[in-house]
Amino acid sequence: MYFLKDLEKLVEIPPESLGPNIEQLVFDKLKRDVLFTVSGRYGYIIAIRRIQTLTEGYIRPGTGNAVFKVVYTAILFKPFRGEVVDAQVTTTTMNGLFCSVGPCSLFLARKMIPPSFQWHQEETPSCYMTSEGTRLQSGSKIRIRILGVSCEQSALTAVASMNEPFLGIIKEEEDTGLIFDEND
Amino acid sequence: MDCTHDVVFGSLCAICGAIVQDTPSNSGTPMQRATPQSLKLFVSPTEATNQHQELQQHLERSKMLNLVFDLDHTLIHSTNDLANSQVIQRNEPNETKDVKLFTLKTLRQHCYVKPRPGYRIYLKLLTKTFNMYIFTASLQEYADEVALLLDPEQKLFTGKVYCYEDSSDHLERRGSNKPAGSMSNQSASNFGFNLASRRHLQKQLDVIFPVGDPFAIVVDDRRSVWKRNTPVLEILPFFFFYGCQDCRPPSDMIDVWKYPVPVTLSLWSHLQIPTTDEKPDETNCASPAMLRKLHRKLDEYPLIESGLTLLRVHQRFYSQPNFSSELLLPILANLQFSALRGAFIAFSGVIPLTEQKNIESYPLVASARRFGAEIVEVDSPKLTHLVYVREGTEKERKVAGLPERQMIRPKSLLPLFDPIVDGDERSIAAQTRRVLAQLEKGTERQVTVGKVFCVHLLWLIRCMDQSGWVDETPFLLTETEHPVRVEGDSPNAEDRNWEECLARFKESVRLAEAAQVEPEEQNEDSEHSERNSEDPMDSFLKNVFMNVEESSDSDSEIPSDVEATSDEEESGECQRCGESDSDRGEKRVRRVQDDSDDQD
Repeated sequence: MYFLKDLEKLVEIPPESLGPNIEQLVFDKLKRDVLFTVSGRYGYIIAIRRIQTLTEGYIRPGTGNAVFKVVYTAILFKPFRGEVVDAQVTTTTMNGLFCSVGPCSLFLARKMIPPSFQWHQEETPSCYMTSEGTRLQSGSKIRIRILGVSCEQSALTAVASMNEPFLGIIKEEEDTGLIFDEND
Repeated sequence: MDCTHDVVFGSLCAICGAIVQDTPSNSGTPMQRATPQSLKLFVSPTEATNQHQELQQHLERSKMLNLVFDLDHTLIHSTNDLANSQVIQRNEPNETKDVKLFTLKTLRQHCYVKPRPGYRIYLKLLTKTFNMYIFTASLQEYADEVALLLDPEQKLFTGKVYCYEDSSDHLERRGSNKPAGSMSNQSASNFGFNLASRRHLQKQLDVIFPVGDPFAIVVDDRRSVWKRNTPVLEILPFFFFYGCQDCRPPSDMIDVWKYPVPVTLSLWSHLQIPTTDEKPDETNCASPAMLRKLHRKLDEYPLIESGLTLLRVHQRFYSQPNFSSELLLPILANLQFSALRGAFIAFSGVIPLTEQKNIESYPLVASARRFGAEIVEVDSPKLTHLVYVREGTEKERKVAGLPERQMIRPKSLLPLFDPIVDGDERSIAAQTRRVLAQLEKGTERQVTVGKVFCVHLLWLIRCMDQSGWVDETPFLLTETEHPVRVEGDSPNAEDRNWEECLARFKESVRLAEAAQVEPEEQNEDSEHSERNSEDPMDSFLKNVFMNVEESSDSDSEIPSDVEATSDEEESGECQRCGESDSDRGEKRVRRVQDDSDDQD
C-alpha cells in the first residue's frame, strides 16, 4: 500500500558546497540520503514530494558541516499482512517462487502454490506448470496474498500465498490493475 | 501456533508468515540452506531431504546428472587491468567481440570478462543431460553478472549460482576454524573479485547439496581446490588477457605456453597459420606473436571437448546396473586412464632440472600418468613417445637411432580437432553422436610396429583435452613419415581393472597434492576422516565390479602386459614379445646423462 507521510531528517551539507542555492542543495542531499531506503516503521521511500519545513542551519563543530532539520513529505510503499498484491516472478526454484513487488522481494513456498501447478524440473527453465500447460516462470505476473512482512534496514521482504480463490496468474488481457475481491 | 517453520525466507516463516528470529528449527538441528545464500531461503532437514529425493528421482528418471561449473579460467577469464586489456582489444578485434565490461558496485571495480570460446555450443550440448550449477570462489555480484552473460535468457543458472559467500557461510555454520576475516583482507586487495587463487578455500559439493548423494560432476581448472574424492574433470585453464594480472597458472599447474613451439611442425599448416610472416629465431621456434595466434586457435576447443568427455561419463554411468554418485569418480578416472594406455613417454627439455629429482610429483607427469601413459627413461625398450619442446636435443638424436618397436595404439586415432559447429539443437546432437562414436572407437587397441614418435608437448595436451589418443602427425618433429604397420588385433584394451586404475588415480592425486605447499595447517582431523573414508569406497568398488572383472578375465592378457611395471621393464622380459624384446634391449644405445643438454 502507498502512503503520503511527513518525515523528519537531519541533512548535513559540507562547507565547500554551501552557496546561494541552498534549498536545492538540501533537497538533492536529502534525495541521495533517503530515497530508496527502508525506514523501519513506514516502509520503502519511493519519492519525495516536497520539503515542508527547512529550519535554519547550524554549524556542527569539528566538521564544519551545516546541519538542517528537514520535514519532508514522502511517498512510501509498505506491504501489509493480508494485502493482495500483483507481483512479478523473478526466480523459480524447487522450493518455491521468488517474486517482486517493486522494491519488495517476496517468496511463495511450494505449499502456497495451488496444487494444480506441478514442478517441472525438466523444462528449461524449470517451472511450475498445470496439466493444461499454463506456466509459472520468471516474468509471469501473479496475484498473491501477503502472509508476513519484515522491514529490515536495507530490504523489504515478505512471504505470500497464492492458494486462495481469485489469486493466481494474471493474464495479459486481464491486467488492468488491482481488483479487490469481496473478502477485502 | 503449531507451524514448525519448515521453510524460512529471510526472517519470515514462508508457511505461516510469522517472524522467526533464529534460523535453527524447533528440533534443534540447524536449518539447511536450500538455495544460494543470496536468496536467503532456509529449510528444515526433513524438508531438505524430501526435496533432495524428489530431485534425485527426477534425475534418475530422465537420466540426468548434476554438473557444477567453476567460472574463472574454466568458463571465462576476467581481468581488472583495464589498460592492458584495452590494448588487447585494439589488437585483436575479432577475438574480443564478446568481451564484456562489468562494474562491481560492492568493490567499486571494473572488470573485463571474456567467455571461453565455444561456451554456447558447450552449454547447448549439455542442457539435456545435465542439471547445471555454478560454484565459484568469487563474489556474488560478480558471479551473478557472469552467469547472466553466459546465459542471457536466464534459463540455465537462475537460483543455481553459488559463490564465495556461500562456502564461507557454510564453513562457519559447521564450526570450522577457517579464518573468518580473510574475506575483508582479500577484497581490499586490488584483484578482489577473482578469488580463485585462494588456497585456503576448499570447495566441496556439500555446499550445493547439503543432504544426500550429490550425484554431481565438477568441471574446474583446479582439482586441488576441491575436497578429495570429488569427481572433478580438470580442464586446461583459460587465459585470455595477456600481460594482465593473473594470466599465468600457479606453479602446481601445467603452463603450456611457456614452452617454445618449433615452426617446423606441420601443426602450423594444419591450423592454417602462416609461418613465413615472421622470421623464426635461430632455434627455429615460433615468435611470441605466432605463439599467441596458436594459443588463440587451440583455445577454441578444450571446452567442447570436456563437454564430450562429460557425455561419455554420463553414458557409462547410466549403463551401470545401479547408480550411486560414488561411481562417478572411478568412471571418470577410468575413462581418462584409458586415453593414453599403451603410450610410454619420456620427456626431453620439458621438466626443469630442479624438478628432475621428484619427477613423479611434477604436474605434467602426474597428469600424464592419470591419462594412462607410463613415464619411462629414454633408453627403455618400451619407449614409444619422446615428448619434446625444441629441436635438436641429445635425447632426440638418440631416439632416432632406436629400432622399431611394438606398440599398443588405438585402432582409430582422434583428429586434431573434432569440430562441432554451432547450429540448431538437432544438428548439434547429430554431430555429438558422430564424435562420441569416434571417441569410443578410440578405446579399441591394436598392436602396431613403428619407430619412436618424437612429438611436441602440445600433443600430450591435446590428448588430455580430448581424453583420447590424438593423431601424432601434426606434432611430429621431423618431416619424415612414420610408417606404422599393423601387426594384429589387440582385444579391447579398455581398462576394466578398476582397483588398479583407482589406485593409480589416487596416487597421482596424492603426489600432486604433496607437491603443493600447504598455506596453513589444514585442520588435521578433516584430513583424517578423509583418509578413513577412502577405505569403504575401495571395498564398495570391489563389490560392484567383481562381476565385471571376472567377465573380462579372458581378455586381460594384453592389458596386463601393457601394465608392466618398472620392475618388469628392468628385467627386459615381456610375456608377449619374449626373446625379441631382450635382444632389442642389448642393442640399446647406452644411456648418457644428457639432462643438462636438454635444459638451458
